[in-house]
Amino acid sequence: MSLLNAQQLERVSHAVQDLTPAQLAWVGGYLSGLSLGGNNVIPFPQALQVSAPGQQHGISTTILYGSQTGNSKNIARKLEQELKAAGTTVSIKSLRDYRPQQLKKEQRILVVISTHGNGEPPDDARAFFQFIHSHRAPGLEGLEFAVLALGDSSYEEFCQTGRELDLRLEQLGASRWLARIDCDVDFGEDAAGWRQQVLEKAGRDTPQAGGNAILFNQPVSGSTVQQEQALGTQEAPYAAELLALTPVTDAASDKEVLHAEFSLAGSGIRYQPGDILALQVRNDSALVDAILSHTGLDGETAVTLKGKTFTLRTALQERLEITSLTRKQYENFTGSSDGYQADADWLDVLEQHPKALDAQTLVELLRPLKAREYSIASSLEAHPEEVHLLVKRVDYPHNRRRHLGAGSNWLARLQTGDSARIHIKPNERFKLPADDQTRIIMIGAGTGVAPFRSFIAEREARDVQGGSWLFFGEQHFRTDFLYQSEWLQYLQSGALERMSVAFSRDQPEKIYVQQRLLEQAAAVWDWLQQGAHVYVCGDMHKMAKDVHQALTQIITQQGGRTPEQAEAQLEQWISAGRYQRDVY
Amino acid sequence: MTRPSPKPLDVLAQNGSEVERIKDQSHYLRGTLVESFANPLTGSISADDHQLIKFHGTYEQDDRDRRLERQERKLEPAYAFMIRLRLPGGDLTAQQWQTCHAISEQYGDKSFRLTTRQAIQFHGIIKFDLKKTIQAMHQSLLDSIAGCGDVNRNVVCAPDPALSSLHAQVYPWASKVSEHLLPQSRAYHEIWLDEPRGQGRTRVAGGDEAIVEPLYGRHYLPRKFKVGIAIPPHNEVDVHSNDVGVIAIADGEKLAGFNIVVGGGLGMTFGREDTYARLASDIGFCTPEQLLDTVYHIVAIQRDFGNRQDRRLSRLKYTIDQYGLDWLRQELTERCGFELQPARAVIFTTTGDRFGWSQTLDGRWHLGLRLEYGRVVDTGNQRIKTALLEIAQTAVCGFRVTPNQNLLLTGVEETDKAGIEAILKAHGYAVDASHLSGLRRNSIACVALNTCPQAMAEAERYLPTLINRLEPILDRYGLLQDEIKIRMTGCPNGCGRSVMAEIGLIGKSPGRYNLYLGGAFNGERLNTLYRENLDEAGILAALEPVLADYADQRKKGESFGDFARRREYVQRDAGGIEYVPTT
Repeated sequence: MSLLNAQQLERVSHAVQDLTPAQLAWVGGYLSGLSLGGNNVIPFPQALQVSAPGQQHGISTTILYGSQTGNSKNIARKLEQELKAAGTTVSIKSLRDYRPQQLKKEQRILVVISTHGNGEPPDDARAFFQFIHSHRAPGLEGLEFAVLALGDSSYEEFCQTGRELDLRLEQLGASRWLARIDCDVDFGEDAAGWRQQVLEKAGRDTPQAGGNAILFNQPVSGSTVQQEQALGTQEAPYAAELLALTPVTDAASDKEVLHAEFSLAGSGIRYQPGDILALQVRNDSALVDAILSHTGLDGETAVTLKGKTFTLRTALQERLEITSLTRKQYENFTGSSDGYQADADWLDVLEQHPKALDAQTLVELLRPLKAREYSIASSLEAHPEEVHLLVKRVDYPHNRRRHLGAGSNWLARLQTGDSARIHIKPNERFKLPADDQTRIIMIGAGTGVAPFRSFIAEREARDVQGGSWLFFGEQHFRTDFLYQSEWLQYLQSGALERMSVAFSRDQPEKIYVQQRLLEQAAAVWDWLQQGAHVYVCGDMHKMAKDVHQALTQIITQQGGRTPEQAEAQLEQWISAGRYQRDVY
Repeated sequence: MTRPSPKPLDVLAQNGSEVERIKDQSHYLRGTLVESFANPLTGSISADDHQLIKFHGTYEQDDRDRRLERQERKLEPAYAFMIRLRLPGGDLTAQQWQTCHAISEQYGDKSFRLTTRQAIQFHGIIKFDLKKTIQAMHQSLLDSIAGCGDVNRNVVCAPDPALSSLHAQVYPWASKVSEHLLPQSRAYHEIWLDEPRGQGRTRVAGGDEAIVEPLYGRHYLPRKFKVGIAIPPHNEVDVHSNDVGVIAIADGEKLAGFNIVVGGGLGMTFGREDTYARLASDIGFCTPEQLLDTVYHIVAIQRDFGNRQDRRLSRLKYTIDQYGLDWLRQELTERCGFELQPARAVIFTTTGDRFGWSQTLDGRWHLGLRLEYGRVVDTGNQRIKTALLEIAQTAVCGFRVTPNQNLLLTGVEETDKAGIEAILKAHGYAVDASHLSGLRRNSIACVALNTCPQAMAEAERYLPTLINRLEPILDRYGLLQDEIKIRMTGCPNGCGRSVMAEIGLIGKSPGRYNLYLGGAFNGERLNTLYRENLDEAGILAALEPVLADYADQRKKGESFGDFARRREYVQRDAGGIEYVPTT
């Protein structure tokens, strides 16, 4: 019998694989010290963290971020402010604008990077990633690095991009200055902890160390932070009044999609078309009741979450994710990932795996309740002091019980006049072209059409005529043509030049937007030749991949390129911001 | 009076209405229909095409019940098309009936309707299914050409072969007249049936391309045109409501010819004193050989002299009232090259249908079935739609729509009667309509809300309820089985011929109706306005004393309409032009 299981063995061998014999000897001693110390964590000896002699003073630091929704950028900018205040020489760059050849000249890089889709880098960082994974990537001996990875543990490939980068930099010879930290959707505290580690360690690196802790705890002044407060933040959201809530699918539709309008009057909150609105939602009390009833727990029992005390009922309703769980959570709870079902909620799992649980154990099983994020469907130019959303109501049967999505059904339960806690999340990578005369091709399926309403409304308000082409896909013309009457008006006014639609279930064979793209290949190619920007919004698995494939095909056929060249062209457009995607 | 000069053929009328311009630019009914139907962004079609598509037998409508809701949902109105089959005399084979059933299931709103002009209408067909619908019709040799529009519409004809030995000689004329007056443009075949351009047109070498429409010309008629054929003494077609009424005259067992009456038309516009309902006037008698020429030239006269400036005043009745019957006779004689003989004496007794079995001389049977307002639909235990499909599948009879929105199963052998009755019974349907009150058997309602864009009030959806409320009153005065003719329309355009009813109700606004009394049971006299703007309580309160009086004071055999006139509940209608029978 082996003392270590396969995974543990892999982790240990991974941890020691590139240590020198001297380092290995030291680690051996460290580990035996640990084994004697029981549960007490032995602090790392200071000596281990000391970098090579001569670099303790005046090390220049570059903060790099790869951001899709702006979270990485915000963290990076906060860190920049803090390091500057602490007297460190620091510069900050988006990976989009960073020439990877530059890495060779860096002393220390601190990278904040998020993961998207199936473990893919944000669009901003794609070119950078391609480079460092290519044979052209230089050796990076002498470079120190630290990675903060952002992700969403409900995806299988949690923080994949950060993990890959962390590994790759090491493979290229760079040395890990700080252990990588992986943050989940509630990244606030973990990211703050990482920033503090950076500050403390950088402080020890510099002679002027000592004031860092105090500096860190003081509010940092600066325009960025002030702006964020005005936007409302996850920690301090803005209470926006619900002005209107109407379904925009026909009553006979198989689905219900809601259009919501919130007031921003007097808030000073600004946003750009393409930005995202985050809503702090509450779980359905009926589901909370069912969980309490099934577990036999008293909703008034006190539980502790990250040092704060709540009643169990409040924790379940307002703080914790109960409508979904990850495979890992399932595995942790049941001991095996067999039988995991993505459609199941915690009530299903608790019912199928009955266990005696106390209240605290229960809440510790659960992930924090995420703010629900939706692409904004309005434009401040066209809809002053308002923000609109287009939200599909999630409602499906599973285990002979209706399962209601937490966010959409919380929204559906709101009455006009109620307020919702919101904050804006800038989405730098989904923006109208700087020049209004640049043509745009917008491709959206389902509620993915939402940001295009903001785009077209904005362009109409700015008197931009034509140069816009919308591809829209849904199931049925009659019942699911989201914002149909508005599109017809925009076509009439000229704010929208062309519209192509694909209703997948109105004929025996399924037709999707990518087929419409291919049918119009010559015209699409013509628009691309004229410099059109391409925007894709909607389901990543079902649509974005197929659209990407269709675009490759159009460039190949119309432009006479090889598939590899077409692919490279699209990559280049992604890096240049000419091909922007907001997929989920 | 100087003789009026005709509008030159193919020259756009001076100050013509918008529809005249649309027809002028349509290239013989093509317009931009192909483009409109290819536009995937809307269920609607362009404003011009909206007018043109009527000539193809279909109207764009929308579900008015759902307009506001759709608007709030940022969806365009629930546009859909009504399509009306051209069925001269209302005849279909059993196979064609099955096609109608299938179309309603696949493309329509699951029901279909038998109309007062012996046509069949499908409702709720969305734009993207219309072409498929027309192709499905075509597969069964059915079409909707000239179902609507400024052309001759479906030709109606006395339906019941058991009522007259003349029937077999008269009935084929419905199809002959219809074909003779059919538009010749191949637009329908090109647009819906994918016939290549030019293929369907037989053209004499070197012939003039302009002779696409020898009768109608480039601008068609100023307005719709209707022809009906009656076989006295039965008047199911309300022959005097037609632009041209054709009345069969017997010479013993033989068809001698036809009386021709002209200028009927029931439509009027509220608030326009210069519009009115009018019954057709006698102009004489023609032989069977002269019938097609006679009708053709009356149509041509209306084409050349009808009002093309104001569509409210453009039916033949206004042309005749402007220039006079003598002028019409003179024009007609010149164009036909023969003179009509004096009209023969005619007696009509009823406009109603007979229900139940009846037999013709050839020994075959016919079954008259009462359908409520022509609706072929299953409701609860009354599964008439399913029953009729099953009967059609046995293929033991033909199907004929009557002008009272009812159905006749025709040509049934003695041995097949029991099978038909068993199917009907199994689906909850009483074969004769004896279980219904006389009022209900004699009721007609138009479609109105929620699909008809003209409707100002309910008709088909409400009349059954109103009759439910009237029946206890009838029962109280012993009138439950008396034949009393009640008709309701949602607007004054007259599709349900409410101005010819003994009790006429014309919608003015939701829940409010004008009440008309005094129409003749045999269809020879219009009714007259009795009370205005009544709600349901008002209708019941207004009718009860008249019905009570009728039960008490009527003469033997006196119809309710005649009684109302005799007792002067209403006077002669000052606005309408009354028909005076020639005797």
